[in-house]
Amino acid sequence: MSSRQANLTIAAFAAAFLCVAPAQAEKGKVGQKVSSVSAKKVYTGTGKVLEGGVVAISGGKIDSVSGGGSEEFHAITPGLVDLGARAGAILWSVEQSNEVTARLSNSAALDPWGLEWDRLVKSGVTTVLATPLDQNVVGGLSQVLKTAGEDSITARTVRKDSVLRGAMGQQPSQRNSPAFGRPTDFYARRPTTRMGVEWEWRSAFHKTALGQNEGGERETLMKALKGEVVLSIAAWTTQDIRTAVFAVEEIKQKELFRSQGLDKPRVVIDAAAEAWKEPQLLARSGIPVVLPPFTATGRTREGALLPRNAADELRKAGVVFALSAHGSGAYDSNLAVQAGAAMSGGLPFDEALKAVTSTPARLVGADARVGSLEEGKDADLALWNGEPFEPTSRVVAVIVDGVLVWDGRD
Amino acid sequence: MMLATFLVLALGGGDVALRADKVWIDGSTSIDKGMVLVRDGRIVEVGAKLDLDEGVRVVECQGHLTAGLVALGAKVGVADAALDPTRPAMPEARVAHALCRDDAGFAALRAQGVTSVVITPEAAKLVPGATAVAKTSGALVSERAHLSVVFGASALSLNREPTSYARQGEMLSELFARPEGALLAAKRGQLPILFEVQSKPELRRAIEFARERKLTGALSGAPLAGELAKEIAESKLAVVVDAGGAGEPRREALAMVELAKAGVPFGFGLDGPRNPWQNLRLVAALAVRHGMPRQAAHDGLTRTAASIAGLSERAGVVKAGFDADLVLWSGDPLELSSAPKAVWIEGALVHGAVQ
Repeated sequence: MSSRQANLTIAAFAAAFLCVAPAQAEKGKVGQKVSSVSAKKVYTGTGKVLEGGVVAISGGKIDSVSGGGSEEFHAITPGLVDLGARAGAILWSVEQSNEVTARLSNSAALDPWGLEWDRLVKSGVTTVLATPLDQNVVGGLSQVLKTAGEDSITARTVRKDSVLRGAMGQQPSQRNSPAFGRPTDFYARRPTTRMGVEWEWRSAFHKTALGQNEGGERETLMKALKGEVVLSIAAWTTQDIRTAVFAVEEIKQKELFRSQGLDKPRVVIDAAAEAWKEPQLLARSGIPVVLPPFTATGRTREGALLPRNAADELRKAGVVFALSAHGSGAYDSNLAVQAGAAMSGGLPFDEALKAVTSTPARLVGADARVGSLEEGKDADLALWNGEPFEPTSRVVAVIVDGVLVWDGRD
Repeated sequence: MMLATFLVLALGGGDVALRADKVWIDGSTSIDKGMVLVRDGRIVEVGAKLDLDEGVRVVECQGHLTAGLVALGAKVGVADAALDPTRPAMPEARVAHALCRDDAGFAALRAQGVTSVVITPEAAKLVPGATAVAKTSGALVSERAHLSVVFGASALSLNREPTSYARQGEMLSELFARPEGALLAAKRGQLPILFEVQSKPELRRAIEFARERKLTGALSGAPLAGELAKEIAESKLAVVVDAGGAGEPRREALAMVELAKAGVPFGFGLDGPRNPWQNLRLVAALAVRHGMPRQAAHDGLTRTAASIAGLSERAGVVKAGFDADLVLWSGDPLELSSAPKAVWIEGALVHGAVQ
């Protein structure tokens, strides 16, 4: 047993804490509240590193982060945040009877007992954005939620229906066929090409501005154009990224939108594998991106290319970016591995840490609660047995809302 | 010959008294060497010693006499005729109209001691229509017993709406916002709803939907429903246990035990993928093996199931005034080594023989 061996101080012993040495918690007591945890290095996610740091917790929130503690773990980072987790992205998460279904929420497709949560937790991911499957142009409202906690999606949701999700590119037009001949099902629907997908997006925006839609559709698209919900657009290739940026810039420039205050969408381009090909365009537009997972060959979906230095190139160009593992909890492709891969492409550690914690939290408006270790924020912690993101290190325990939800120490 | 056996109890038009080693009134009460007096297809009197008129024929039965079993959620008699996935909702459809009374499935059910059955339309749309209740003689008891409402993914399609859980919920809300006919009756509580569910998230959504609209009825499906026993108990909905769907028999059995502990009324369904007719008692027996009180299992097969089927005034209990739907078992009805020796529906012998 090493010096890193468990002595998580358990809330039940908090009273005793004042007069005697901290009680040694039993290792692996998953489900227990933790009142403090220490490590050789505490990375707060705000650029600070505390040697011999202690994170004190009460009521599921961080009480304080300070130095001078013991060294239960090698390192503590904020729980990781994956905006492309694909949790609950099952076939039934998207309503394909119409290509634009902005009002529909994917919360009903989320299963609190699903197996994906456990995998995510074990890879250090504590908060995710769960989006519908990208089969629609505008797929619907998405959820920011914790990967652990009660067996209830409602209880675990950090921000409900706070992101409107859609896609550029091939996916929304796949399997569709033109509505001539003898249609056998509703895949005889628009769009059938990239051009059609782009038209659907602009049509949805313009119908909203012109008052040509109604009900929940109108209400949701209005919110997206006003920036009251984040607009997440999946676009893998250069051409789709450009299309997304131009569609947003059109809104910001046209009087039709400006005069009604509909020129303030908060857009995030997700799965932007080829963002590195258009750094100036993205920097100019101020649109942040989420990178998909790195692959061995560099090829991702839709033929898009993602080299290892993509993240660092975006940093140099001043483009805000987050990393994503698309929900993988596998040891060779999880979110921590993505951070390591970006570092192998030149990205400094601090930037890699931000790209999997505070940046994604901020992009979906959840940064008041998650993404960094600061007083008053949710006590979501990834506990490491070595330097974070190094291939020889791993997350060995995870705390969510002050509760030890996984303990994988030897 | 066949006709002769059918008429055994009706012969002479008079009363018949059955005397068995043990008569189970319901799951909690039994009478050793009890007697059941039957007249015109109804139970007239039950007791240890009946004061019988002269001329009443007494039939000595070796074994246990129980009420006929009530199977919930079967597809008997309808084959594929209850499957119409082309439209999202057909609230006025009635599975009774697709029923073939001569279906061989009825005989198979009778042979298992089942005398009443709730027949459900295929859950391949949001509102597939009304369930039917029939005796396993083929006689229809009710052609509109429940309204089937589907929260399971089986209602989702890939070539008509809805294709998503989100739109499913929205469409069901729309249907119940402007109800007519069967939907209106269901919303007013005049027609109980059979909520078809598979997974726990679906079950939870059905409960929430029912709570918001004060709907009544039963949750049907979801082999692991018992893992949410507390939520179900609060909802006041009953449960039709379709065991054999989750592929984890022990976990399913333990979940059923939780239903009994929480006091949720439940009966056993026949619609599970691995829950064929001969398994109705097996599922109950497995639950007992994992800790369910025998009384709860027995009532789940009879009394409570009859109540879920809307037959609480006429079946499921061996009681004066109720239909003479009876089963003579060779031994304890919850032991799988016991077999149904004789089955009567409304006084007529429909399976086996007393000797």
